[in-house]
Amino acid sequence: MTVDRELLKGSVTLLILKLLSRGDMYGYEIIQEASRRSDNTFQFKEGTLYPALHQLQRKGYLRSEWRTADNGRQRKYYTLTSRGRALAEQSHERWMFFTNAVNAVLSGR
Amino acid sequence: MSTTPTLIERILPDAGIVSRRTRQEIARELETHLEDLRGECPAESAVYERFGDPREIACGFARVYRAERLALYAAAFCGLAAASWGASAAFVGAVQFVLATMLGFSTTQLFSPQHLVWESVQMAALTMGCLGIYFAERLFQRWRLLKAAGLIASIFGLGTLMLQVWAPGHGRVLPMAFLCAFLVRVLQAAVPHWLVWLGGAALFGGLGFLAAHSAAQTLFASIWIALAACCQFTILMAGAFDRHILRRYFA
Repeated sequence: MTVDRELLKGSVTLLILKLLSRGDMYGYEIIQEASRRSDNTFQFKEGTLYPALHQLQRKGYLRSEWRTADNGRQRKYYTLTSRGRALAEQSHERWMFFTNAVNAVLSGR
Repeated sequence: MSTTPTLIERILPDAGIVSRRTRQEIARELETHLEDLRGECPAESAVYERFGDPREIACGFARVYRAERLALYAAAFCGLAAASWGASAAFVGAVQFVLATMLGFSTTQLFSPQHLVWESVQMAALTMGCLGIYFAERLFQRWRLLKAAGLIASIFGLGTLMLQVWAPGHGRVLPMAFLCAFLVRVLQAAVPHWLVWLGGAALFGGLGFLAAHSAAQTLFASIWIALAACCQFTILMAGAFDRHILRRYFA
């Protein structure tokens, strides 16, 4: 089953923040990790990840630097800032609250 | 053939990013991503498919870097308005000075501080009228000139009321400036080539000189031609602004 694109768009920020809370990553790595963890459910258009990363960086939730990756090539790594970490937690809580509410309605409790 | 330059070349111009450094940084970052992607799927079509629509990515970047673009737009517009205003005021002042000297008017009276202040206000209003109509036209699809003129006339009308309250008796400066700007824009729309239009203005001015019965009429006829030339100059400057700033960063 494929995930609705609009639904995925709304959760991209949360996915990026949560993935980066586990460690610094570069764009391609974020995509691979999201795809791996979701059993290939999250397969968004890869280029659209970058505007989202840049937006988060401009808002001060991420910072970036060029480093040499494991494959020996230069890659731009993104790191969560303390504000980004706080936002990740907050967004996660909101998401859980929302999904619990949706699940409660769907399960007919 | 590599897809990297093609994709990136399609994204960056439409993203309208002002800073060259940021553009280079984004290009480098996208290149590295495409490099990894090509390593995984050698087929170009697959790379395109997975990377996404370049226009959508460009729109995303355009939204992120909108503030810089707006700042550049505001700065360039202020620069354009100031340059047009300064050049127009200097030109009209020079025409006035030459004609007043030739026709034997007192330049002391003509260039009194109060006169200069209000003339500057009038020139600023003229510049803003020209630029306002020129740029407001693109807000509309049909009857553009009339609708733009209506919009700017409303703003000038409000300004006239405020000016009349603040400096009674001087409110007419704005409607006169608007009228001049509007007439010039109408002429420009009717006669697209500016050289043809300037030739017409010169002919009109020449006839005005021949028909003028007094030195004062000659002076006024010349000043109106000078004002019309200033409007033309302002619109030319706006056209350059359009080509170099708006189409490049706001297309």
